[in-house]
Amino acid sequence: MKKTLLFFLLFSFVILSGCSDKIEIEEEGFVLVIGLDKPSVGEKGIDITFQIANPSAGRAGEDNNANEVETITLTAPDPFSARDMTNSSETRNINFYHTKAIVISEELAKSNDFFHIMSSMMRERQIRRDMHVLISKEKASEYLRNNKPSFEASPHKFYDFMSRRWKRNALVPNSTMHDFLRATSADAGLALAIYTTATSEEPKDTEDEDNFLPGEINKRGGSDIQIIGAAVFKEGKMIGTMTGEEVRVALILQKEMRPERLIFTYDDPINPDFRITGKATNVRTDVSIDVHQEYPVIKVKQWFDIKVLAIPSLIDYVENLSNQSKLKDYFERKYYEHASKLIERTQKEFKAEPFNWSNQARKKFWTLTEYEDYDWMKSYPNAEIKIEVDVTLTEFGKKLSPRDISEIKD
Amino acid sequence: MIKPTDRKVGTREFVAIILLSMGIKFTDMTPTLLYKETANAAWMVPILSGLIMFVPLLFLLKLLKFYKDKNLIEIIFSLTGKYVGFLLGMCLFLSSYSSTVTNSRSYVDIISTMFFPNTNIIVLFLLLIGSSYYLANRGLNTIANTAWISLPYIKAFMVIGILMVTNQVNFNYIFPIGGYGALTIIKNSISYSSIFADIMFFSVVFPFFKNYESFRKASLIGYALVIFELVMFLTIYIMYFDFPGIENITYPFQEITRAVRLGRFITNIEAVFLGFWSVASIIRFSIYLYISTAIFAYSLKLKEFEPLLLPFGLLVILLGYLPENFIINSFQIRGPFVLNMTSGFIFSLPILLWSIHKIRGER
Amino acid sequence: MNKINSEETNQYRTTNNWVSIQDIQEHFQSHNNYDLLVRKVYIKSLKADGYIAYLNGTVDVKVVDESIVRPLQQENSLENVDDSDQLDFLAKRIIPVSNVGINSRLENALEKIVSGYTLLFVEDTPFYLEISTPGFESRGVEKSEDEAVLKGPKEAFSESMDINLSLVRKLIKSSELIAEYSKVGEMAVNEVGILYMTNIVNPDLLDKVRNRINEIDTDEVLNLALLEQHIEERPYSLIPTVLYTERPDRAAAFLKEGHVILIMNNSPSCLIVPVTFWGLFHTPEDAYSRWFYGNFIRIIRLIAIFVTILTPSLYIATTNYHIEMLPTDLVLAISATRERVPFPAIFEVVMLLGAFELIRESGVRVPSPIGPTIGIVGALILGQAAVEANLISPILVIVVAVTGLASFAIPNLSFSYMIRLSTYLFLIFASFWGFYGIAACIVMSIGYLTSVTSYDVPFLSPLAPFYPSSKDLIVRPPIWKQWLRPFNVHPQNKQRKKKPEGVQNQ
Repeated sequence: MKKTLLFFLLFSFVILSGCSDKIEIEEEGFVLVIGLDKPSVGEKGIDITFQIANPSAGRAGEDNNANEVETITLTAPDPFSARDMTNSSETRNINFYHTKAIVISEELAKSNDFFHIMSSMMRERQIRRDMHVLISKEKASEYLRNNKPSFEASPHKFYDFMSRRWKRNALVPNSTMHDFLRATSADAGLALAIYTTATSEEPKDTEDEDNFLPGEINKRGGSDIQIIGAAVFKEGKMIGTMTGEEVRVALILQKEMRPERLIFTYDDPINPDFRITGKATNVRTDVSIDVHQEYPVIKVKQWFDIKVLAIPSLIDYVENLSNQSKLKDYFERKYYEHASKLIERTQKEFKAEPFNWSNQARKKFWTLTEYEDYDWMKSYPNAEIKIEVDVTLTEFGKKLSPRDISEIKD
Repeated sequence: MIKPTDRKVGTREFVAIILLSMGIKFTDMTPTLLYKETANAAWMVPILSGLIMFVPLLFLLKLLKFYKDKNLIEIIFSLTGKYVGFLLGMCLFLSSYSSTVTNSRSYVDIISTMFFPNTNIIVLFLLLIGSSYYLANRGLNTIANTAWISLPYIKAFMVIGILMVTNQVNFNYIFPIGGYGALTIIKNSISYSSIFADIMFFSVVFPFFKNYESFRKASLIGYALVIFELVMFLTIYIMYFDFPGIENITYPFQEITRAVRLGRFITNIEAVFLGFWSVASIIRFSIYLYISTAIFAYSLKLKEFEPLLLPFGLLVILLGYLPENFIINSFQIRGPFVLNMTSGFIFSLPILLWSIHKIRGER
Repeated sequence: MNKINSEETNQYRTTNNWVSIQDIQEHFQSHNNYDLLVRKVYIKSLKADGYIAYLNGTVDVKVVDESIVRPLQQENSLENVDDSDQLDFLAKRIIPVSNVGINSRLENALEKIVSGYTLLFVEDTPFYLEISTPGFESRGVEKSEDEAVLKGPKEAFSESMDINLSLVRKLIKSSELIAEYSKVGEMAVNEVGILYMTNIVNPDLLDKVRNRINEIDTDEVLNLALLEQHIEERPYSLIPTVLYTERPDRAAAFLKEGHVILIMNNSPSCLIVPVTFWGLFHTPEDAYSRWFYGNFIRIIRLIAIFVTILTPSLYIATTNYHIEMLPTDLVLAISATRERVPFPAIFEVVMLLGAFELIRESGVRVPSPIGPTIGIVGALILGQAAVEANLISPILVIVVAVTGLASFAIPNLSFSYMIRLSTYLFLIFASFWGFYGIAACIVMSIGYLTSVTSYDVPFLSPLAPFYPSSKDLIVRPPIWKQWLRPFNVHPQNKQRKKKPEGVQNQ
């Protein structure tokens, strides 16, 4: 009898106090994307934009006019207090369990307290380290309102699928909160974040396929947004941008990334009126660093497999072996030029490297103290860098040498 | 031939207990403490600490071999006499019980911070210690068998977890390999060697094991595996978080499980890890509770200690509830006090006992 | 056949404690009990009158006519028979029935007559002949229904102990197979047959089983299903500690591992003690199927067990505590469907699980002609309509349907109850503490399972505590590698055969 009473007491105690973390799923408002801006009113705090999913919108037989997401902007000290402030008008309990991306306006990213905001967000358990970090040219609140994907009804799908594209084409760094925080706190190089805009600017007149910043692609129809290139962060503060082409080169120069599917065009080496299109795979990149000199000596060697996709000039690069080796040399030279151009820019302009070469440099030190004394970030700008490129032409598509156009005209 | 009393803990079951009770130390704040002190080289600390603690373990095994059916407390009593024996027994009890209290609090803090922020920690404590008590109350055999059954599932899931983050880790982050230098590593290896002190406590319930041979074999196998496991996880942590980053991560294991993804569709499965990890921790605290109570009862020469399990379990909750937050618990109490104090005591006790034994034996 | 002891004869003569046909008639109240048939017969060989008596329905009338009445009336004796040897003479010479006994006690007479014996009284003799002529109605040997297999023998035990014994003997043609009989209950007439292999079984186990049966303190035990509840270890536990099976081949397989089998009249089954988790988990088909196929079914069954236990609690844990686990699309879908449901998720689950149990129970009780309606009512009305009425969300129908479907894949009835009931236990823990609660519940369940014993054999042995065995646990090795008997029942004879070549030490 005593035992049952004790058991009953314990049980009721547990029942009465045990479920304070219990939630009912229909009461939850799932924030899919967070936007951060400089405050629109006053100096302190930030403007926070929540894109909250509206679950019933996509459901058959329901109100089809409702939006998939509800976008709400408010000024608050930080994203967590903004949750409660949202409840002044909205019914749902705001959570970040399924937040896929965080969009930050360039303005805020360039301000001093940006890194504090970011790292303090990680204290909250709901914030995940695999969120994507995007920097928008305009205000994040405007960007999020203008982001209307053509194919995906809901933004979470948009970022899910986009990140898979990014992995392949390397036009943007596939950077997450984790990468961003790690690179910033390691304090050895630059951190890259995805650069984007939803307002199209004056289209850039270029023959290249990747040398754009967001907004510069001449495109009509579909979604308004353009995600290409990177925002460059040094010591937790945005200091510049990189075009899509530069991002590609930077990722190739990294030892670990090895982008697989880079579709590129270059001027035809024999007939410069035309461009030649190919698909490059960065098979391997070797970085060796000597830290015993006064300034580091870095040797980078890159290997590419290239599949030629289109030869509009109709010059025979396929069966004519001398042309083939000419093409190969040409590619190697092109890659060399791109790489040295970017390296020069990082040494002169950014004074730090986005290539994670510090990972190779740190191997050369026995203790952390020695490594910190060497100060990779400081020594990089004066480093001597040697680049080598090795191209293998692996495929020419399913056609042999193109047919001469003059023969057809006859 | 069929006698319930014949049932004793065998080699496999004991290895399972060791692996579950000591092998999940990498899931609490121990790694963070280590990385704070030794930077990138923290993964070497378990190897050195393991070697250091191996010395008293050998002495202890020699003693146990000599005194066949006696448990550690009885050996202490017969070697040092009534009063010193009691004192040593109580010291042993205090060190094991205090580590039970602080560790369980630290586990409850993990659960509370990472999964149940709004729930009163008393409730979480109650479930953790309650289920540990349930297991402990059914005896050492039950704990051992439960450990043996759950071991493959827990470890398989851990391995899956590791495999699934390997594409997100960078091997180069373990460099510079020396951390803050060899001296720091050695110093910390000594002061944190009590990570492996638990292995000594099992000798308190030595008569419950099948025989000396299986006890020795299981201790050594389990010990080696635990060191390997700790080293593996510590390296995974540093390879994922990189050095200055890991300093700020309170619970690296829980944080890394959040990164585990099985392809595109199965993501965010940290709650599943919570499940497996809770199974391991409940088994861990049941053996802690069992052994602490056993030490206490043997020191007082009580015949039955099972009735003491319930009050001792409740006391764990009460004492564990005292520290204000996990920082006080982990950094001020558990780190310097419990870990370092017990290090020295546990290290010297077997050597002391063995020398007394030698002196007396030669006399 | 009993040889008459002459001293005993004299003793009865002097006390004059004869049993006469009148005593029997009196006891059965023959004036209003028409079951007792008493027939006067002239015994030609003795040149005396006699009575035969039997209970209608317990004897085979044909045997009585052919083997008792006809020889008595027709057989001539060639020699004079001494008075005292009359019955002995009849049993030896005249009555062509193998099981004949001579006795004089009334209690014995009553017990025999209800057990299908025909009694023969000869006038002026203190003794009577008991002639075994049982003719109880019984089913024949039929296909096993509860434990059906696709491959392997299909015979099942029947309600007659003799048939059951013969089924077992047919499988194990061995002189080591012993069948002991033991009365059960205070006023017992019913007997329990204790079968074991004398060269394999552990004597301690056997003693324990005998004691347990002798200790039963009740007037009568009618069949094995009731006996099971008298001899099991933990009456209040969810876990069955006795295996109830209707398949003789299973009984034989367990006999050969050193277990003890109990059979009884009126029970189309046998009881196997001790039993472990594996005995409940396995089906005969696992062994009969080829190695790959058998293990495939086992793994499917293991999954079914986990699905039954865990699906509802996992659903509750994820939707109530760990919503980050679900894919975003699924979260939004569940959230949308739950928007109009007026109950908390746990209530929905309990409601639907309850409905499912109702369907299951009514499916068993309903007369078979209207059986199919249950399925239609269950599936259509409960599922479809409840969703349309916004009483439950559609995903929950899937959750509960999967749980129910999986529960049908669990072989043994007791085992199935155990699994289904533990579903609710896990549900309670999951609804309070999510995955943390489920984990705690799992630990405690495993702890409980390992500490339960069935006749001193731990329930999860030989897995934990570990004993050498042929490793026929979750998956089984090929049949030729199973050369060891499991050590957890402590068989006397530990090997089935010599260790095959190429097998590692097990």
